[in-house]
Amino acid sequence: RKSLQEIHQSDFGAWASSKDRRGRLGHLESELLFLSTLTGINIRNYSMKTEDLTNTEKTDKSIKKVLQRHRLSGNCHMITFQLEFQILEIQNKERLSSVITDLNIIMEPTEYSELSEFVSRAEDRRDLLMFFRSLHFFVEWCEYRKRTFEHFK
Amino acid sequence: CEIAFLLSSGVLAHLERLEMQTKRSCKNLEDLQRETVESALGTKIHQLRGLRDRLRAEVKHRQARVKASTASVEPDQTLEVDEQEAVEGKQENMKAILQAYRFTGLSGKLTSRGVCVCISTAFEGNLLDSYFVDLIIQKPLRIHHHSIPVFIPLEELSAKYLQTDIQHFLFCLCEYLNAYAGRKYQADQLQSDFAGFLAGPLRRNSLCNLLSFTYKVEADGQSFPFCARLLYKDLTTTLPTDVTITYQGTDALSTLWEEQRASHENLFLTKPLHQVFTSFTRKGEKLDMSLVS
Repeated sequence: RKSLQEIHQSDFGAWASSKDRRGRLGHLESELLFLSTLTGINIRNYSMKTEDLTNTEKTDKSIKKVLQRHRLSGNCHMITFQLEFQILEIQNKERLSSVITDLNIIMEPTEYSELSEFVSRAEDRRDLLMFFRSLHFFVEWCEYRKRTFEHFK
Repeated sequence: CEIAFLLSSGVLAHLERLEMQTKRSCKNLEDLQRETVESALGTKIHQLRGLRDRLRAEVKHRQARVKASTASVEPDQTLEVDEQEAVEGKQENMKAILQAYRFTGLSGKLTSRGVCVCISTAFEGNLLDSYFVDLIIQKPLRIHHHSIPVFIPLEELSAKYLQTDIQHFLFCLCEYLNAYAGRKYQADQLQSDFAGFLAGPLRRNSLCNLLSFTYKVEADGQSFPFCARLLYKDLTTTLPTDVTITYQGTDALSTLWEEQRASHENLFLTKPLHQVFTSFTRKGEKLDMSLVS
């Protein structure tokens, strides 16, 4: 596992020559490595589609509605996940609101019932942050437990 | 006496002469060996140089042939374009993934001096404000600038964790900010969507962990004003730790209303603020006791 300093140092060369195409790619790779190390989550794929739901026939033309469909997949150590969620963005005169209207979390079944528990809770609450944070802590706890048992073997 | 004998009989001198002869012949042998090896190597070098020159000529010849035969098609450029497209595609994918990290609560980018971390907040599926912390990677690690509100204990958290465990520092900050954002959201919702229930302004502090308001509960044509005081001692939660509901009137509360008051206290402790008022709206005047569980 690279430390924050190591990641930054190795990237300094890439930063200096960021105009170079390969340098840019290297810079992006370093940023991804930094974020996956920090969050414990490795996002491999992501895509989004938008659909304009603004109803122009209605009198209230100042309200703009956009539905975003997001697809995200990745892994946290040995556990892989796939998320599909929808975000409804409503822009009226005063403010812009963004709400997750649907969240589907697809994971391979494991022997850990706690995992399925917090996954379904995250789905019910449409709480992405809770899902990612719980997954990270759960995996860390599993690793810690494994190491502890190894120690006693 | 033995040495004296050896000296006088010239044995030592003879040994000396023999030694010198051996050295000379050894030297000669070494020279001979060296010369043999050198000349062999010299021949080898000559042969390899010849081979190299022939190969170089061959390569030049072939390059010229390839250039000549494919001059009209210009495959070099096509190859470059394909490669460029592949790299750009990969770049776009990576940029998209970097954006997607905001859904984990922490995202950011590398800067020339360190890293700028962006903390996203959300409450019950509502995506709320983002905050940033710009870190300079030096020994010691320090915060260059940030957009964290002053009432969030940033100094306390950085003093405890920044130097030893950046991940823990950022996770804690994320927790505090998300809890604050959640409390603020509930208070804002109460003010905007349930203003009809309030008999007076909603009093709140900037940290949104101390709220007090008076709300009206109606039953049997009567209107009872209840005073609510919500205290959120734990700054990492979005539900209050202490709820006090008092009755504003001068008369003593009937048993039924005392039960209502007590059940309201429990409701505010277990459900987000705006959801409590949603349930008031739905159930109309009567409060469903099953909500208490």
